[in-house]
Amino acid sequence: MKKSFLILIIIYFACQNIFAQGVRIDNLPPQEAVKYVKPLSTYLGTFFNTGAYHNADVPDLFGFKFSIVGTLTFLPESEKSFAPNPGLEGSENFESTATIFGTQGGYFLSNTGFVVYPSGLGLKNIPLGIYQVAGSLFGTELMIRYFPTIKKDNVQAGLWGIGLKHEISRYFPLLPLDISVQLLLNRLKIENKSSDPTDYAKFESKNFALNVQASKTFAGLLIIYGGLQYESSNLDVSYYFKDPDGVFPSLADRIYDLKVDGDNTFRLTVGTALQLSFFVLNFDANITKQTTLSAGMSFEF
Amino acid sequence: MKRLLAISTVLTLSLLLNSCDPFEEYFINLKMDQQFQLYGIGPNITQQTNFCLNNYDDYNDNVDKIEQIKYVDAAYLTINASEGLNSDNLSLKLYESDGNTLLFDYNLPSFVASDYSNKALHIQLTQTEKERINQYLSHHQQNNCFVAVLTAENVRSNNSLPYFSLQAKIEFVAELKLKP
Repeated sequence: MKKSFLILIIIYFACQNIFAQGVRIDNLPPQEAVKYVKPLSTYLGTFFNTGAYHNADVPDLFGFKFSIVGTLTFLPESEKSFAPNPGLEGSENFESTATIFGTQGGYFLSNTGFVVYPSGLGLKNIPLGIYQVAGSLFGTELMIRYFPTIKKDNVQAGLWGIGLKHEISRYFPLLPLDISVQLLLNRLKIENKSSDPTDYAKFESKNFALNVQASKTFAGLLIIYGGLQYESSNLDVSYYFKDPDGVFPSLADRIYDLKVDGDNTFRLTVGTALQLSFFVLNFDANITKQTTLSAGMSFEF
Repeated sequence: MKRLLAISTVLTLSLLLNSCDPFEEYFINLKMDQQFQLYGIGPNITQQTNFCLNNYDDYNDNVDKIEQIKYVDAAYLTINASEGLNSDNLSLKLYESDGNTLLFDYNLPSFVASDYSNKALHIQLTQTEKERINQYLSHHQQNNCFVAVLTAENVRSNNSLPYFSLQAKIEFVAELKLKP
């Protein structure tokens, strides 16, 4: 119970970090804000589409599973910076600048003075966890993730996710492997709303995945599993553009709604699990744009 | 069985422990605007202004996390000026807070104010001047104030009256290196 509570806290504070110092999406015009937050869209797609399985076998009659999944996502250097293109005349010193995960915001000299881009969170990697419960009947499993919307200060955050999995190898009893297909949908919403409308920001992440997974159990103890997954992610962002440098007067002082697609398409997962009576420990590697390791502990029967 | 359990535990613990420090140093660019109002009957018009790093929110919000502050860049922009205002030399001097120790002295001969009303002037300092500022900023807890003096020498304009005015802005950019 303490661990699941810890996971909730981690998710919550990870959400709060988005509004931390240095991360100032409100300093960017919409065309630059899209590039700034795109790696976040990719990350959320990567995170939510991780850890959804460690065994393709679904009980023929009834099954139950409670899992805590920890993930560690490695951020490639290409996801930490982008080339600014503010579309201003007379700009000099175009250098790459930080994305939301980067370390160094750029700056350049425009006709009307310096334009300063925000820094990022300065992250090397992202550890994050989630819990999930699943129940199955007749070879079909429904998985649920849920974190109620809670509010602290001006930030409120909540998430839900579902997964539907069906074992297809049950129709082919001679197959040496267990094979299943699984559909995943996950949503996360974070909103920063205070009495000052210029502080408004909202992030809503929508993630979809469809996978084919296979596993083989040895001696009822060791499971080797893997899968190929198609996935997509989208981040809806609403924010108030303040234009602190005063160089985009025609765009300033209004709320923008952006749709930011993540770079999530396919992933390959390989992993292993150890089945110890009602407990299962698993570890897998996910090869995708943001390589992710995942470890899980499950209580299942 | 025990060995498998031990390996799994070590892997899980390793994942958790390595994840404890996901942050690295990061940098914020602090932009400092200073406005000048120069006016008078000439031949020189000048104004001195004092400013401190703690006049700026980005500095105050991060002051406890600052590992280093570095001077990065500066620019000049004319906001408003007497019609046709020009001068033999535009001088910008930056001093430490005592007002005596010079950090840099930038000069632009044959200054025409209107040339920089729609196109900022990039103030490029020598390496020695940058190092002098950075040396001063290396003790930013104490040395965080400056005195800036902008002077237009031997001013002329199209006005029939011998009265000159120049409203201008100097922007400085500094880089704050912050602890994770």
